[in-house]
Amino acid sequence: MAIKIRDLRNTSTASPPIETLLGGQEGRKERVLSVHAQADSLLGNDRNVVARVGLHAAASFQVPSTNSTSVTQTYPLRTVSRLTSRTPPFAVLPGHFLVLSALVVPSGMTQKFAAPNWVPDAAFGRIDVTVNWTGPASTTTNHSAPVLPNSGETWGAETTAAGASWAGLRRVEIPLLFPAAVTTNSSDLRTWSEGVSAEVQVSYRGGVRAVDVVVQQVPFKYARNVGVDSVFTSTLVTNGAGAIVPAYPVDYPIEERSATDPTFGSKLLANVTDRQHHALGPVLAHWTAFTESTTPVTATAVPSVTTASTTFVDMLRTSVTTWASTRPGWSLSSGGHAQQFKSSNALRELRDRNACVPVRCWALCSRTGTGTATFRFQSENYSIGELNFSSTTHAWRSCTGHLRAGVSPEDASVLEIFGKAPAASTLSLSSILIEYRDL
Amino acid sequence: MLLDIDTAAVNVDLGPERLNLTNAGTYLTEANSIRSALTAPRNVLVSVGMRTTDSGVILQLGTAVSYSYRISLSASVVSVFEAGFLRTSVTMPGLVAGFRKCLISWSQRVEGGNVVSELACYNFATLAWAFATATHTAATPVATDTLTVAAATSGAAAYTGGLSAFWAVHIGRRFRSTTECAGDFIADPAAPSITGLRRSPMLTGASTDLGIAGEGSFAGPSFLMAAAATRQADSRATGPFVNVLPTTPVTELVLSSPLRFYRPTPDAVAGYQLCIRYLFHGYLSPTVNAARARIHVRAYDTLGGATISPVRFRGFSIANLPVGVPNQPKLTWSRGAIVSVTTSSTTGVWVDLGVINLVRESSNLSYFALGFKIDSAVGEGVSFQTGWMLNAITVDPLTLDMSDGGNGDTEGG
Repeated sequence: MAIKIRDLRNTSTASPPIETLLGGQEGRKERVLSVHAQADSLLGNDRNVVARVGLHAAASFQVPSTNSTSVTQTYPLRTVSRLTSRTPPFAVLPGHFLVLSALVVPSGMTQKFAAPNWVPDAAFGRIDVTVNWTGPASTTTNHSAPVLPNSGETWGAETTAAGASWAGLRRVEIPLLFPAAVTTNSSDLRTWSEGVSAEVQVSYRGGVRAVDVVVQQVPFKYARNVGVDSVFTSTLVTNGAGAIVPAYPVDYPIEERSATDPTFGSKLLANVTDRQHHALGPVLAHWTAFTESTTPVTATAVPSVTTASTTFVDMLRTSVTTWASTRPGWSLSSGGHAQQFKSSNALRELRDRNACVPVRCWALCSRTGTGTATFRFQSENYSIGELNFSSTTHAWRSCTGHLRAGVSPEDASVLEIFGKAPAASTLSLSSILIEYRDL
Repeated sequence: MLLDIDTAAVNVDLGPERLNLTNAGTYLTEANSIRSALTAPRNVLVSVGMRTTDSGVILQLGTAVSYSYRISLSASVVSVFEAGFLRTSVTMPGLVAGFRKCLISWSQRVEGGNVVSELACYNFATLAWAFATATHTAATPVATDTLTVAAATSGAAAYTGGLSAFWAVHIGRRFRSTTECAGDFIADPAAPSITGLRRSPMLTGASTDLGIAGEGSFAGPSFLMAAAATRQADSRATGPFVNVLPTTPVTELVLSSPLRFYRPTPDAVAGYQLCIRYLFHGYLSPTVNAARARIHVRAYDTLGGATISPVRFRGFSIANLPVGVPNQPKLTWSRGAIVSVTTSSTTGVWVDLGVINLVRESSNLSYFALGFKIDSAVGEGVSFQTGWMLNAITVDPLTLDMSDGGNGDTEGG
């Protein structure tokens, strides 16, 4: 099996040397090689945020700094994980895996029950991360659990001096969350380079005080069997170490090396750039209903926002009934660089004045009672993705749509989520995720 | 096909085929309309005057006994059908006794083995939209069916508003987003002011669709197109750095509480501070060097009045924030312009913090923090008490030409 590998770490594109390929120029091999190299570096360009949870404007941490002996439970258990953030099985970018980084202050106390009171257990904190990977041929799960620094104060309290939270700030990281043996086995890497989805769960165990926890897709390595695999996103003009070859292998640009090995040819480039234009796009937004200041320490699942309204209301502000650009919402502006020619026609019809991006909109949701509940993911009066469902099971559900995104990150956009419950029903929403999807 | 009475008579086809419909007096017709017999993806759009009393067939591809697809109106409800099946319907908003110009856009796209119908309706007088979507099986239109506008075949079930109520009709062979529909038939939006790099999708094709190295083809153009496509795709997967909607934001007051959460901003400008409530971090794309930051804030008098002291904000990009790492390099930072909120609000406003240069560590790790200051005015804490809360914060990275060296520059600071 002829597996070729591209190492995507520490690589990114520069401006492709288009000028040297314009008419009247000699078709020299080094110019052609540079085009291949640029296409091969493109997967190294992004560090895409897929989930974020933390203090995030809340008044205080979930884990208090008060007397840790109490009649009712005021601190978390040391042995039970509490889900704070989840993602649906989003599409992982080719050759990418995940990194988790957490900014924390020292963890606080945990409690145990010793009749008649809840009493201190130990100052302890751990972040549990579970990733369910689904590849073209198999599924696998991996767990990581970085232990955090603990408070040495009485009751495991926060240090109270002015600025103490900044002085006590620590960062912990899981550098790479990955399936199988992709870091050491090229065959596994090939298996998990394309068509992969990942479902992430972030939990706190014990007295975690997280300022900001972020999960990102990061480029790692890309592998392909050049004689077999027909879906690919990298040109793989690489040597055995996964680096770009220093020289084009023949004197003149070629169409392909052979029918089963198009490496270095113009046909390969066409296929790669076509796929890059269709398959690549970011996770644009993620939200969790977990909040440090209001979610109780006894909650083990991500909480929900709810509505019983039978007409559309903003799920985060139920007094709001219609979309407006002046209201709070998520930005889809980065999606302006992930438009599609076939559904946005940025240059011809929208003339670089407006843009839309194809997306899959996910909601972790349920409803009580019977009938059809509806979510609307809306980024303009005319731009809506609509999700209908009828289930009491709290689970991820999704719809597709084309949402107005703005033509670039500098062009403002506002995404709101509206929900409508059937009669005599309550609609619950715990989390959302908006990802680019080729439709 | 495109009919547009602003440009030509109602039956004149302004589309590329230039094949006019037959004006039958009260309706338009085209027999054996193979060009309209489009399977999904497809778009059918009609701009037409409507009243509350109007009903009938607005557009149809069919025969006297059946139809491939149909748009009809009854009791203010616009319904779209295929092969005898109702796909979806919406109530046209804002209809009254007199004619109001309305837009109906019915777009279909293929999703797996099914077809998604998006129906968007718009009232030009009230500026109101209505929307519905449905997922259903695919249908195959009949190539020998007759296309009619303002009635069904042979004038049956005629639209009561009459042919004279029609402004435009468009039938196309691709899915057409509502964004395009709005831009083309309602209002052309103003072009945004963009200082950074802008990327637009190119028309690309797989090698099997292109005549690469075929007869009459040169190798050069395909390489050139590939290079151009790579350039236009280089930011496709770069998403937002921060995109957070706090569910329960706290109200910040002049007196910071608890004090442990706060520190002076890295530029040490008097009165400005950072709070760990508004601290975010992560790895940056190596190709971005700036970000557009926006916040949605509500500033208000917590005593219930309408007066507040000015609240100042500015964004900070930070690298090498002390986080307990031995031998950590010196903290570096970049800041945006000061933006002030001076009026009280019950719901809040978007505040554009501008484009901020991004600084980063060698690993591409970077921090973003919101600096702020309540600039106490006379009466603060006595006749009014200023508070503010963060409803949303978005930081979208981009590439900016920082040093006249072209947009490939990535240096921050």
